[in-house]
Amino acid sequence: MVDTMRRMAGLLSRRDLLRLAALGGFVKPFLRGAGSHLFEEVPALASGVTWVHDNAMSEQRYLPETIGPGCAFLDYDSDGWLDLYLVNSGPCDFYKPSVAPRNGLFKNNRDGTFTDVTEEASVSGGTFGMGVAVGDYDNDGHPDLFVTSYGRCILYHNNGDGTFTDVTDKAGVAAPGWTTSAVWFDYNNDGLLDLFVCSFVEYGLDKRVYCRDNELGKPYYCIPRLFEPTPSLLFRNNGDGTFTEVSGGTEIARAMGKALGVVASDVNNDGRLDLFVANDTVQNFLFMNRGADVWEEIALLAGVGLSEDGKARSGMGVDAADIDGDGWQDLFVSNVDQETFSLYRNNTDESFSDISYRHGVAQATRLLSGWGVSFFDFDNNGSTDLLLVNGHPDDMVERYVPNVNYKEPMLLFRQEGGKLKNVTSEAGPGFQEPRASRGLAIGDYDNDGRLDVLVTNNGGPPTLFRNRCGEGAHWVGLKLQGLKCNRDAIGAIIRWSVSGRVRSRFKKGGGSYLSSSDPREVLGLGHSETLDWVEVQWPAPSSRVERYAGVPIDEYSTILEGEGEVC
Amino acid sequence: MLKALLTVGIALAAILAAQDLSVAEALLAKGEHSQALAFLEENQTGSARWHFLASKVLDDLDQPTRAAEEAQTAVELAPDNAGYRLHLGRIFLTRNNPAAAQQIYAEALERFPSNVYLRLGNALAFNKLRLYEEAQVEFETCLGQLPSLGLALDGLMEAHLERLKYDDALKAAVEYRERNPQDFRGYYHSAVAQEKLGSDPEALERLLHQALEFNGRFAPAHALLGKTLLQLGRNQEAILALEAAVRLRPDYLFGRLHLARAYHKVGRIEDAKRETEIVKGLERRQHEPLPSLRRQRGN
Repeated sequence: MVDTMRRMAGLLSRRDLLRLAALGGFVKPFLRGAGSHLFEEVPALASGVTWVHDNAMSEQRYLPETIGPGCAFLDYDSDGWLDLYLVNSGPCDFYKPSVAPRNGLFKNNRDGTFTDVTEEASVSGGTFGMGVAVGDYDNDGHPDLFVTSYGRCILYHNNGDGTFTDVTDKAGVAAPGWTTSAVWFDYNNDGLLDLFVCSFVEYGLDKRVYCRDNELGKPYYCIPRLFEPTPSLLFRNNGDGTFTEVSGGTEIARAMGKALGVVASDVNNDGRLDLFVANDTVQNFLFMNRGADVWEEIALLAGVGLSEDGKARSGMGVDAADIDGDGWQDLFVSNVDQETFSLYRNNTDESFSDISYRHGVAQATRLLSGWGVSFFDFDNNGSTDLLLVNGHPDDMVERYVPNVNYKEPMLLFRQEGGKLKNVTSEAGPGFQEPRASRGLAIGDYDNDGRLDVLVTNNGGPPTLFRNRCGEGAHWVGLKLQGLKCNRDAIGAIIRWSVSGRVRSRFKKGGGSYLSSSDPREVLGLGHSETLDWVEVQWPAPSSRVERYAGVPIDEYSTILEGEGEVC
Repeated sequence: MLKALLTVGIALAAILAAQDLSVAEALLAKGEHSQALAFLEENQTGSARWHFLASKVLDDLDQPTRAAEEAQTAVELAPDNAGYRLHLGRIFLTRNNPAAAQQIYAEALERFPSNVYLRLGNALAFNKLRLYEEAQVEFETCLGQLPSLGLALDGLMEAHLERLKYDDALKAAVEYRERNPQDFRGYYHSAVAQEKLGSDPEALERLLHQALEFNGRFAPAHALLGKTLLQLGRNQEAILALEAAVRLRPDYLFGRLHLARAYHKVGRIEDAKRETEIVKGLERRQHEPLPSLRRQRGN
């Protein structure tokens, strides 16, 4: 079949080939373990996503080469189908390519294939890109893109006609330096999405520290401990297309970190979005939003700043979700090898307990280095599962650290009976293939109600996984649309009842690493064919709690703020 | 006759030199390192023992390069002295070069395979190299030879805990406790392993009290007791235990961290903030680069 495909490739146009492949004639033979595994890897030939990350790896081993890239699932053209955005490196002080790598925007053709529309959309980047945060900052119904970089950031305003405009300077969010993850969230509950941008370390050719004292005597990627920390940035949305950096004088500005990951969630259920920030080689931060532009950093007291033994680790990816269904947001942070990753249970008093050993996460991650992380219900049974993508930052590590590899497999945990179980071996060969993975986004790109996976790999092509599990499980897909609150409804709480059992989901902002996921929420119903009701607690300023009856199952619906029955 | 007198003279000189060195040993024992060094410099015998004592003095005076050179000379002059090799390895082990230490101990063990202290050094070097499997074997051999060797238990616990082998850690601690019921270590390490395994806090509390009965000055036991009491909601008792821990070891980060949380929990916000700042300072200090002593042989 492969030979047939290759012969035909010479006769058909690439686009025709992709369409044929997606129609089923050619896809299945190329899929790994189709039908027998939870996820199947979709090859670039089938998806049309031929983009490759260029990490600019040099003999000198400049640190920015190794920590990207990020990716996003977004519906840029508002057609109801998720498109892809992929971040690439580019020219900077240490990298002067003759042909600059470019970011990639791939339009979903609604048939399992994608078309590269980067040039038409004018979103190719041009900086040494790191990550991407997607959010509708002007509430016009079209998702905008914020691209972080080693160098200047870029804010692409979505014009609503398939094109974007670089409005960085007008908006005032260039944030020079070295930025990594970013998150759109409404910190002051005014109905407009604000922006938090993680800042990593002081870096530049003039500041560079040379690391070559390994056993090989070759330059290698320096541990970030050697570089000076920096404060992250908080931009308040002024509502007129401009932003004001408002961290000055707050604990955000005073907290000198080396931030790589951020998630916005309400960890104390006070109606204000807090920030959990993963830092590399210094303590993590938990910025509690006390209102009136007051932030209190409490990570050490909350038990999420350091390891159990009091050591700062190499925090990279983060996420938040209520994994035990108690109505409180739990947290996750991935670290490097020998440190283990941490799953933190919310003690409901602004403190957390590390329960990673109890769930087998610590044991599974002891020798791994984690980046993208996502809590999601991959089998639509209503329980929250966990996905981790991994890879050591030092490409030479295996030559001098025993049992540690540069390329590492992914890890998939399914929640069973209140505990996470490592089910990576069932996930499919693509999950076990070692890669230098970094970014991770979750989204249902084929609109079948089963959440798919997009992984970006350092110095290689991205990996797209189609979710093949959850057969027979029902679901409800919701697109929340705020009217008084931010249009993306970040900060909303969704509650739903299935056969009398009530579950809830908090609509967080950000999470994972350098990446943005599907803005829609898929609620797993398991084998139940009926949904009793759905309730949405919209974020401030309305804070309305509305119940929606007759929401159809096994399809997507848009729910508007103000159109439900007020509870 | 002349030959006999010469022999007697040599013997007398040796006795005097030995007496001289015992003066140096006495000074060293009293911690008078500078005087000991001055004495040794004035009374150079060139013997292996002289080089060994010089090395010990220099090591205590934080001159590790010279200390290592003298220790190496002592080993070369008296290759059958296990103590000199033990000392040479220790210099590298404590000066951030576990690879060199491990090499020294491995060579020494070829000559003295039943020397438990050389094996302990080898095991400790493996731990520092993160070769925990190898370390575990060596620590277990040590404890088989000398069941009361507490440092071997400490090292074995580290080898288990670092690999998250909490069940094995608990088993080792319990075995040690049964063989050494008067030693605080068995109780303390049992509590540590049980805490990792999520055992009930009451059981931990009992073990930690027993550990403290045998060694009331062991800060980690006080600190873990404080953390446990905090979990039990006995906040004031927790604070007392944690304060005891940091009194005994003011730079004990784990104790400070949980003391900060305890203060915060009872609303002593300023105390909590103060402790938090201390924790941040201690945490930063943990990562200050340690100079690594390079090993040079044959010069």
